[in-house]
Amino acid sequence: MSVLSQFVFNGIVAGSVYALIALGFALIFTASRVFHFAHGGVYTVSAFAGYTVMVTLGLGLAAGFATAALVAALMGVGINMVLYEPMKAGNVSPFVAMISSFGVLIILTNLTAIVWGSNPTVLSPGGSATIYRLGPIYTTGPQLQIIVFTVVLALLLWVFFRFVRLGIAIRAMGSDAELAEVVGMPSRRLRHISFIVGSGLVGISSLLIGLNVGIIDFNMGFDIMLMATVAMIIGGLGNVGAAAAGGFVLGVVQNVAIWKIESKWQLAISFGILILMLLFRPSGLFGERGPAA
Amino acid sequence: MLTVEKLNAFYGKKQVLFGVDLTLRDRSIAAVIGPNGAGKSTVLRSIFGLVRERQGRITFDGRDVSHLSPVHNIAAGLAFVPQGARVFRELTVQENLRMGGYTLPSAVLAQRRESALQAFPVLSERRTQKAGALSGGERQMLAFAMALMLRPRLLLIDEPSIGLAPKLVTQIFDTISAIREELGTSVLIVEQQAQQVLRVADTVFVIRAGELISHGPVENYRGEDVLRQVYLSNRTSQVN
Repeated sequence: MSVLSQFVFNGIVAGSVYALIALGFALIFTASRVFHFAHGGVYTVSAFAGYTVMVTLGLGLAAGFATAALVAALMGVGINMVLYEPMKAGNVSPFVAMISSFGVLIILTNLTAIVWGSNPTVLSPGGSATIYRLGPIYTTGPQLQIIVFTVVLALLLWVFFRFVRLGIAIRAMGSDAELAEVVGMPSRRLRHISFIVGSGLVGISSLLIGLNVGIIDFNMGFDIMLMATVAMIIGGLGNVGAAAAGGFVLGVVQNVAIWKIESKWQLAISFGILILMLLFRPSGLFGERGPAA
Repeated sequence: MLTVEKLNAFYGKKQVLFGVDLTLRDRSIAAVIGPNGAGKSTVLRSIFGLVRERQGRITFDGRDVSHLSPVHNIAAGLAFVPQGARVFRELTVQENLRMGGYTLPSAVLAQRRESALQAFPVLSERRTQKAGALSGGERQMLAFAMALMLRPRLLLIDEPSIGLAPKLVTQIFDTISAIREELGTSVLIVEQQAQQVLRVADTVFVIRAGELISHGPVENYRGEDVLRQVYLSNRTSQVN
């Protein structure tokens, strides 16, 4: 029993990581309806930028987080300005935007390897992490921070999208961009805001996750983007609560599965779930079924 | 209150409107009618600034609004109800009303949302439901209510009858008439179903192939054969 609860807990930690990436992605998707795979590249670069300020320059934790958030926010809004907005103006298919975004992910991944090297980089707050015991479960400070940060962030975003005028406007714009213009919404500005906030959050997440794992490497955004995408399809697209929930479900299933099955099957299990979801419940576990038209 | 002079509009390189002139008196309802694909909707979309490639002069209350974008036209006192009972389907009824008044200060917005819900009891019953779950007629009412949140001086309505049952169409045009009576709003309607719109309009403009081919007071268009003659005639005429 205690073994199972530890696996479930590990799953919640892993799930939080997926959920954190999925939350920013979902915010951006809600606003712009772009499959922003480059989000994974923003995640990688901001982690290394934070590392440089925090460790290389020795300016401390707070400066590291601020840098990661700032770099990520600027990159996100920059990608929107240079790539997606011109495509929207030219009525380019969303599919083309998605492929371009994937290209940006590859470019950013490789740029990171060129600038910071291709070996894993140790990222540690100094000393080894203290291990806490909660009943039958062992955990660390960074793990608990990630879970709390994820849950609080998911709740804040949920409130933002349900009750705040700006949040409702972002949902409205995703639902019908032309009607948004008809009622006088500043659509471009709303999309820029979504990219700034969604990317800033992934910048903060990148360091939180880096500190938990203990290392960062140039390929981290690629792997995590893959899992975050699976999580969002499991949860349901275009809904922050569902994206977070999908992350938790995926994390727990992956970790509980390796309790009974060899861990080399973990990826196969993840994609197996993805295929089953696409076959039997394409709108996701918690997604809203869109109108038929 | 609204004057449109020599309006040209383009979709890319293709010209769809050719020198359309149009005037609308204060507190009046004008109908733009004409065959399918004549460019009727483009007239409204150009006036409101949704079609950006346009030439000509548009004045509203003596002010030049020829080059304004939708958000600035809203500030000037215009509102637009697009074709097909367009609402934000994934949002609830009250969220839609809130978005209709996006440009208003919060206090005004809350107050007007309440009066909108009072004016449209059907919407009040369904205020927490998704707009996508409403019937076609209810969605069209919601679309009106959203535009009226802005208390526009001029309401532009694009083909309100599309996809609705005949009985509902009558109701929709009664609503438009009531909006003018109660709020003093001027209305410019584009409509395919000429019979219905002629029931409520004061002035008629007939558009064919992107050109204004006829205009005049509504009485002159009520006869059985008048419209057919107008549609088929080859020259620009003023029906007196």
